[in-house]
Amino acid sequence: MIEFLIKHSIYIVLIIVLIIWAGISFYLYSLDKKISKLEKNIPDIVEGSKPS
Amino acid sequence: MKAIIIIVGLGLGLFIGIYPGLTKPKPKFIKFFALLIPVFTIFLTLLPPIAGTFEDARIVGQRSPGKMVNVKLTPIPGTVRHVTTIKSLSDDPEDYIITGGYEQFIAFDSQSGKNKVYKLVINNKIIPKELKEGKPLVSLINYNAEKDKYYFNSIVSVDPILTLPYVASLGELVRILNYHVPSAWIAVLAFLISMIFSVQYLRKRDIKYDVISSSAAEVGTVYTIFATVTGMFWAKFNWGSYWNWDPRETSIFVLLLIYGAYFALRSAIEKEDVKARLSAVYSILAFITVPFFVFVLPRITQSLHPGSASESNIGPVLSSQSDMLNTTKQYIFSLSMMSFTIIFLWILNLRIRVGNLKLKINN
Repeated sequence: MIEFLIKHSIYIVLIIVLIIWAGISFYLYSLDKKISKLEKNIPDIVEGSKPS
Repeated sequence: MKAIIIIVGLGLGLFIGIYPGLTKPKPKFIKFFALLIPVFTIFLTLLPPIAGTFEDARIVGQRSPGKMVNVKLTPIPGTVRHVTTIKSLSDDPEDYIITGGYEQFIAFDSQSGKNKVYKLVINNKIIPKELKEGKPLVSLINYNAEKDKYYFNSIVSVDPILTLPYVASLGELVRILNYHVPSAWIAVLAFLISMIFSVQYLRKRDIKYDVISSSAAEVGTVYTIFATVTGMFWAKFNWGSYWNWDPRETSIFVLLLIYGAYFALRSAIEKEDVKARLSAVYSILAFITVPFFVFVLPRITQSLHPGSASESNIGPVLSSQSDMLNTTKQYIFSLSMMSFTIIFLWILNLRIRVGNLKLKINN
């Protein structure tokens, strides 16, 4: 495995990029969740989601 | 055709990204989609081997002797045989020919625009086993101008499904194109959205349009910085320094200053409606300069950046003559464009919703 990675270093780049992307994905997803929760607690913020 | 593929990618990205509305919460499948497509883009950008032609190897070999180029080879069935005896060529003890058979390959010749049969001299006593299997391969080839011969060095990839185009002087760096160009285009898209909603604000005088306009300008500035930073690293390895005030670099810097002033203006005014009105007017004025700085100025000046006045075409992505994007690369670029658009619109959506929440709490 390590020998393979040393020989094909582009896979190391791939793994690192995917880890970074996983981090960004997780952050975006959790941010979206938090904002949705806030919107539910303060109704009538987003148009059409809940009539006041 | 190239433009259609890219526009379809951008259009699909816009459609998926805006659904079900710019300010409404996104359904789960859109989020899933938005996070999954970039994974495909990352794989498709990094994994396919870069494959050029013998013509590329010849040009590179003449310019910098000893430099190797990836060339795609398709063995003609039956021509690759087992080694029986190896005899040294009389004029050059480093070259070996294989008696009892030679290696014949079909490779694309960009000068005639047709496939051509090539015979290779292998400077290795052992024929690689992949070569005997008769599958198409991408191999490292170097051209020796003195001997007018191509040398087969090693195999990069066996039976590649996709290959990316080889661009002289770029080599492996051509992969950055999939991240650098979409981020610059997305910045323009963001500033356009900011301008449109500024006009809407001035017409309707509704503060929610100001939230959208300022959020788009913020995200657009982040993408401009992203394009600048990726461009800087690219410049370091292609032009020799991170920053050398190339017209393209100067124009993006001025653009950053213009939008920096937009945020300075916003933070200087306390009253909500005055802030919204003035920044809406400024955003419209600022957007007038965007097409000029991004598309016009770098094209009418002598610049190192592709698509400048010193080149015959309008740039690798837009020109119909450029060979920087082959069919595979066009689809991958289009996919990248789509994923960048979807992610941008999602970030914008989050930013607008935070802005709306803030507004509600303040009131």
